Amino acid sequence: MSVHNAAAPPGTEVKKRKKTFRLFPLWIVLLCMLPGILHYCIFRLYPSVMTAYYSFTDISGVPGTSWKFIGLANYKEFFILQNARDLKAALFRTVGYAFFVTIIQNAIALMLAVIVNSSFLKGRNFARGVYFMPVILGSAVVATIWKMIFSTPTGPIYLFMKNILQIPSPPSILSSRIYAFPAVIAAQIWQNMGYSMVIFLAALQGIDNSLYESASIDGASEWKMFTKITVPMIWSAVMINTLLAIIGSLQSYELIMTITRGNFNTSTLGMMAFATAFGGGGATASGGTISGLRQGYAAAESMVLFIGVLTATIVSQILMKRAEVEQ
Amino acid sequence: MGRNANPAFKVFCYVLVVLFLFIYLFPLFYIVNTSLKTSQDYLLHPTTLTSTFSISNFGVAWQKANFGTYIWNSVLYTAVCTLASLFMSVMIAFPISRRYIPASNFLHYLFLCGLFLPSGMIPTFQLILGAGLYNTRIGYMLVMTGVSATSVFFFTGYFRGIPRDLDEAAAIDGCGYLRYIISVVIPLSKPAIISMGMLSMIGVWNDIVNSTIYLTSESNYNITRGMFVFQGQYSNDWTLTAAALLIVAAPLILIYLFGQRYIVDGVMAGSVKG
Repeated sequence: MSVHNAAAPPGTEVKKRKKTFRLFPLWIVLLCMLPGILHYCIFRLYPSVMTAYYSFTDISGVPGTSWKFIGLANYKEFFILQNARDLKAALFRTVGYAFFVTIIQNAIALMLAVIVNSSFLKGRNFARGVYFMPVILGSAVVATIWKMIFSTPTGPIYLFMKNILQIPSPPSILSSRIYAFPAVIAAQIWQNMGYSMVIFLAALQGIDNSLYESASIDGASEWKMFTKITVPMIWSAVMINTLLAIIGSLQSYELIMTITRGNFNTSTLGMMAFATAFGGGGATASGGTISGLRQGYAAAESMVLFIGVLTATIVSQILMKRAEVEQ
Repeated sequence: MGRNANPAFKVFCYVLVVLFLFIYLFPLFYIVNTSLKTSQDYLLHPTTLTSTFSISNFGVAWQKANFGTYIWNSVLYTAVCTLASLFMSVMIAFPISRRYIPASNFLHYLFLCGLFLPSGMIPTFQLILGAGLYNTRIGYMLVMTGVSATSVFFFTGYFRGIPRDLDEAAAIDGCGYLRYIISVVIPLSKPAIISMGMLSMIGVWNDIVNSTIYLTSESNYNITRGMFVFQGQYSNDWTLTAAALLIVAAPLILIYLFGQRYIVDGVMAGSVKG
């Protein structure tokens, strides 16, 4: 497997030494790999697997407290003992968040990717650069920007509603039980749209331009070219983007945590798991807090989320493969 | 779509592009504008262009938010975690790309697992707590460092493009493995190193979740967390918050202006492999 005898002197000796000869001593190669492999096993694989184990315990985040194995009690509490309305609200919100983010983000990203890929458009590189920028800004910065834009009574959205839309007493968006959730979704899309767009752009650049030329000679409309050439040609990018958006938005809680802390009906399952484990608003669906940093219960919530993500991934892949065949 | 698209379609495209440019640039413009206003000016005329250009907000925010301490923490965290992550990823990716070790396929799949497994936030916390590293710089950096599957695959792919003859030439000349990697492989893979390095830097600089979990004493805060706490305390003074926000975002925007291509390359690598 790892034999490179070009450097060895020619002759029969090579054959004998074939098994053991290496360009560089094996031990030093392995020694150099060791820190990375250890770190990966300790801080990536082990925690990942242990989440399942902890979900059957009542371990807490407070150091020095004893904990024990409690079987399925956490899951029972989550699915059965919990207020059914809370459970339903949390699950609906998690699915809704993922659904709207995935659909809207990818629709806008695809549309803008097609447009900024058009050769007639002036300043398309600038536009690409601008659309992608929030991706690097990070949740804390993006959250603060949107808190400011939505702030009351000096934020531009408030003033817009008051002075231009003539709404007498505009709601305070981010502390409204109705509007806070859509606002967080909008912020999430604003932050990540550029990411999806870049993936679409790469796929679009792989399409042979002669396809469009011959289609336009045949008199095809822009829309026809889009549905008959563009979409089928970039279907794999559509699948990747959908998958990434579903996985990302189901698990994502950074913006929820930084914008509303899960209050005002914005808490999703990911946010609930974080808040249950480490404190903060949004530990329950209605935004209240569970005291005591119940990390065993939070681990169970994480596991429910993980199963959900896995199911959504598989189902979406099957649906999209089927759509591909039908095209 | 080509230059000969119909005019109505072109106009439609321009309108959409401009509309979204507005959606993306307006918030940033608004922040910059606000950061240059005095507090009174902002409260009286929040949406007008600044007439004062008062840069004093930046100084005041820097002082009040205690950025003098936090920025050094952030620089330390970013530098150490990025260098450590890069070093570990390169050291793992190179032998895998050359199949210099037994079981390189197994390792490849081991890292592939990392793309699908759930994040283990709670066990990681228990681990750090048990090791007595809670609320320490070391503990935080251990969590923030990481060999991601993305970077291993990205580097593995890149290293395959470096001719094997170089390995052989180096080995014949008696060049040690570590020296070979540092003085030959890494310089030859500059674009890949820059891509992954920038992504890592951006990730560490922006971190808010782990700094919220692991850093409880103010002397350990990174600048992002410092800005976030400051915003909570001075939530009514948006001019100071805007200035603090721009201080945190400035290095990111600088990196982006100079390294956009590398960042996009790195991001793309993650998505295609993922």
